[in-house]
Amino acid sequence: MTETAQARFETALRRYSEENFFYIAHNYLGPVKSPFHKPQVIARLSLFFGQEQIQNRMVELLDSLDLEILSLLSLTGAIGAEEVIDLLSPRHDYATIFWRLSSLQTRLILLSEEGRLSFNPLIEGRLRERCSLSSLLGDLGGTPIEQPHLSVEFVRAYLSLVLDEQRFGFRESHLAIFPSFAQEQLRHLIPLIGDLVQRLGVFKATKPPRLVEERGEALLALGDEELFSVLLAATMSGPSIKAAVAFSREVVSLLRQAGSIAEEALVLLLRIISKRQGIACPPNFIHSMITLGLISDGPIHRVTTLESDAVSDELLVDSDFTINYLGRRRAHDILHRFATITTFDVQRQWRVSKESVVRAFDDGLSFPVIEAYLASHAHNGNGAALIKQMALLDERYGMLTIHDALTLVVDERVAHLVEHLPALAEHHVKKLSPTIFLMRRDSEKQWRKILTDAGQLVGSTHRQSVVVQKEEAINPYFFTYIDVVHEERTTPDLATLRPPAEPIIDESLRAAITTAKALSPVQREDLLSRFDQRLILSPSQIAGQVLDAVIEAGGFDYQGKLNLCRQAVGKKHITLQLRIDEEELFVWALEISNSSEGEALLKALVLDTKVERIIPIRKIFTVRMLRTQLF
Amino acid sequence: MKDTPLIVQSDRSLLLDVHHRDSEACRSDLIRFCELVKSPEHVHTYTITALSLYNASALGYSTSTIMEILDRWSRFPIADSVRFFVEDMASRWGKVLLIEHDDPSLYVLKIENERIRSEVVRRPAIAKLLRVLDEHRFVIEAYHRGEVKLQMIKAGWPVDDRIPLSRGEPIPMTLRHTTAGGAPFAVRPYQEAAASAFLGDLGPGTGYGVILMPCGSGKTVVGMRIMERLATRTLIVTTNVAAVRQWKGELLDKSNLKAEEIGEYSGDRKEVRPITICTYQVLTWRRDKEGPFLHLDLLTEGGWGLIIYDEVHMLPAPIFKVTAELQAIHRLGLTATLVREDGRENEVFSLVGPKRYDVPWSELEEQGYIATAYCHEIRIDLPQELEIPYAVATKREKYRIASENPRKAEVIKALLEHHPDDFILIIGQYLTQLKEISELVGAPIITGSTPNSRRDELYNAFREGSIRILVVSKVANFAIDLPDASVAIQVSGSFGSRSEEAQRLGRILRPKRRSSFFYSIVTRFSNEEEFAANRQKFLAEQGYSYEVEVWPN
Repeated sequence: MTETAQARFETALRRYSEENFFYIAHNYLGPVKSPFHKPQVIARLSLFFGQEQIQNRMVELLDSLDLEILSLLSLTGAIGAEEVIDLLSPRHDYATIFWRLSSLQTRLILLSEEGRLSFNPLIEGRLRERCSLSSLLGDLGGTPIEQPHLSVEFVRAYLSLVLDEQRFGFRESHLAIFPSFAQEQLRHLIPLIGDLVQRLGVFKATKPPRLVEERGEALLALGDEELFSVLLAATMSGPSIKAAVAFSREVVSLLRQAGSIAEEALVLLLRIISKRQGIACPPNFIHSMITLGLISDGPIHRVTTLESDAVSDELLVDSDFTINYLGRRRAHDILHRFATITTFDVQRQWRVSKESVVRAFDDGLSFPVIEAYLASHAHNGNGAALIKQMALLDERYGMLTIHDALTLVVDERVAHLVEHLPALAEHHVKKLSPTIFLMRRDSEKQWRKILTDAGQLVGSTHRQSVVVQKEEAINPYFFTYIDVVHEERTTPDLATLRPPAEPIIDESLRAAITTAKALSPVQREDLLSRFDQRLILSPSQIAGQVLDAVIEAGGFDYQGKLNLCRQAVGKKHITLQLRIDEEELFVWALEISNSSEGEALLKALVLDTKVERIIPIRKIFTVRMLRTQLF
Repeated sequence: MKDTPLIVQSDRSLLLDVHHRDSEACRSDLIRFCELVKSPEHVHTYTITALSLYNASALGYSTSTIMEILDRWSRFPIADSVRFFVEDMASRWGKVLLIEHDDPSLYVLKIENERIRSEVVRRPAIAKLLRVLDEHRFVIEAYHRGEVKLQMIKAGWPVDDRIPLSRGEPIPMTLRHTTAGGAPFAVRPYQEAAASAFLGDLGPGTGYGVILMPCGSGKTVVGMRIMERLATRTLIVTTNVAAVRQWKGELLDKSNLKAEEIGEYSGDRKEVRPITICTYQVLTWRRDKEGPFLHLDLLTEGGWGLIIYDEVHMLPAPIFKVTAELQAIHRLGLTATLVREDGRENEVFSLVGPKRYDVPWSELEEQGYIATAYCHEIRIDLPQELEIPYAVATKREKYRIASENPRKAEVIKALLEHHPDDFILIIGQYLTQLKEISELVGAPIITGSTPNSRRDELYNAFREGSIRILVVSKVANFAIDLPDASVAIQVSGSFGSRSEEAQRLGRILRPKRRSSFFYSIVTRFSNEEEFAANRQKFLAEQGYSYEVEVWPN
């Protein structure tokens, strides 16, 4: 027990209302006589809960619902009781969670710190050890399966397809290129990837689309898990990139840990992570994960193995100019820039064609770079024939070049100036003759000024047509995604599987209560009731007192019902359980008023719906006052 | 990952690493149920098709055997989709039987399975050929045998044809151990393997199909070996008269057949004998476009026990239909390049029969059964005066201008000087160009208009060594055996025909003491380059790689 933990424990107790505090004190310490000294009582409680055997008992008595809630909190961190109820509400009814949270607090498993539920710091470590994904999400532990999925190599193949086909969408021919993918998946996957790479600005929005190489490279340098995180984050619009990537990373990471997950549990997991990251999960997120191949479709989602393929350093260049390799290429590989995927399967097969090489040249990939790449990667130097073909193509490519530039015609004197003025150097595109230069169109203003400053009389440009330069707007935040995905992960460390919890009941303690002398029947009954509520941890608690007297009024006892309601008004530690016809409500009493006819009315907040209702007292069949340890 | 040579892809293609120590053992397992798609230098591609599985099932290979082979050789676990396909397709074999009827003009199609039966009768293309005999059996006309089998394959239910093929009139024939010319002769192991793959146990499901072997590897010998084992009346259909005579010469040289037993059925002669050799041309000859094919009956009415379709990829469309009716006869297709630019390869398989044997060219080259060939593409510029005419020409005209580039003559001369002792074929497409070359180099020329007698004379002179250089048009593309030719210079070709390129290379692949050289002269920066690239695809897939050289200006 650290001092910090003890201090936190005592601070939390100190903040409890008198009713709650004394209930706890009486329960665990036995009757506390007045006058009392609260710090002393707190110290005694601290001492009581500091005992190892008491802590062991507390943990032994946890059941599966307790662990479900604790596992939830271990993921979300400290959150309010209402948030816990909200998260678990599809699975359990309001009252069940409400009372269980109350119980966990009465048992001092959970404490309330500034309105948020957190683990009792004295036993936090033991509690976390009992938490697990399976306690929270139900049946897990299905081993991840191998199924076709998004991967860095898939993206590499896709980029080459876009460059080859000059479009982003799905084509029937893709079915043959990606034979391991199911038809339906591929029909959705290709357009989704297309949409995402456009959103991320991996391609310039030109016709034909041009790859922004540094972005393509950054994407292909990711691991498969990071790639999933980035692309799933890119499907989300609204939240900050940081939150979206953090959200996606946690989802991917926890799913991989889970192995398999039921649909309902997956929805819960997404809601939990949304809560952690403070963002809303988009409605189509699960569909996107299925499409990308992270999880399988169906009521039980099986998670895909994302084992990294082995890095392949060698390319097998065959005589028909197909290029083969297994596994994945290293970061900064350039194959996709000058070759096109033909089969994406166990073995990746690519084809080098005249079109693919010209496209690479157009995109600024020079022949010497390709040559050096093939020379260093081709198995046993077997790319020689291909390199020769490319060299010839390069020669031909160089025979005709179209520059988008302005022609500067000068006399011999100015030519000397243009050629040798250092400031103009970066504006030259090409020198066509001793007195004719091609100058950059996009920096016309700058080099005009330089010439003017140099004392030249610079007239207007003789234009035959107006060239409108379109600004290319691409996503400026691409690298934020990449940076964030590389940040240190903050997902809590939570075990995957724990055996189902069965509380260990100490029957000797029950026997001790049953046989204890000097207990009135009511006191014995009260003690047994608290024993069943797992509030009795030690024989020292067996003392003659009544803490949980049932306070109830019903039937024709109109005044009794009215009095109980009046007593509960404004007290959040008291919940009223009302039975009205067939309806059972748990409410907080807000106010008692009278109608114009003089009828007493209870204004109450219904806890599960958070709706205020005005209920005539006469309509209430029974009213029961319940102590609520929600603080 | 296992250290094995095979990768099984999800699309049922199988990639064989030919440099792996176990690749040969793996290959010999694969060919039982796979088809070879391409065999470039390093990775050979096989594929598992429905047809290849049906054939494997017909030969007795069970699904478990096939899967055991795949599991044994595959480096990685095999995709479920592949397992499912193998199990599904292989399980279809034997569900539909074709058996004999008391009336020899009829056959019985027996289908026990109710679901298959109802599926079949709902297909009009099949239903119209069937008459219900009883609950499980239908009757078909004997001459619809091929059509029913074809349609059933399309429906996904292969017919297990239990009707033995007609044996034809017996014609005893034995291959010699020493040729008539006095040379030792023996059927090579791969030739024997090909013949065995074709004949199987001579039971139902065997005795028809296609054998693919490289040019120069002795397909004729395979045909003769099959003739020897079937010993039956045989019709051989080939591409031209020169090939007819080559077949005849080979039969006389390597078998005990006598000249009077071998008939030539061509434009010149119309001899029908126990062994008859004819051309596709004569079979499909008619007086006018609308008239009947006057000699097509030779196929159906000759009482043949075996028909050999030499260069089966050339099978003309009119023969397709007749072949469909010849299902009761042993049918052998021989070719090196089953690539048709009209895409009808599969019809050839359906009508003649499945691919029974296929061997990578590189393998026979390694074993020395075909010559090692070096391929070169020589690129040469157009003369300046043709650049403008070329620029303004249509695509077809451009190709012609590029093909007939007069500067090719200087390359030819240089190559001839470079090969002073070789026997050289100069092969081209355009007659004017070929005539000019013929005059330039002083070599005789053979074209379509050269009379057969003159062709024979020139081919013989070339074989005997009195002529060292021959200029030939496309008439020499196929089936011409010129054993000593070691250099081929291709000056022009039929646009992007892949099989033509391979067949032309084939003219110099007969094994000999020296290496062979194939030169393709292509006009640089013209559309001839693109067509040349397409032409080279088949050979590239066989592992040949072209050394590209630019001819200096």
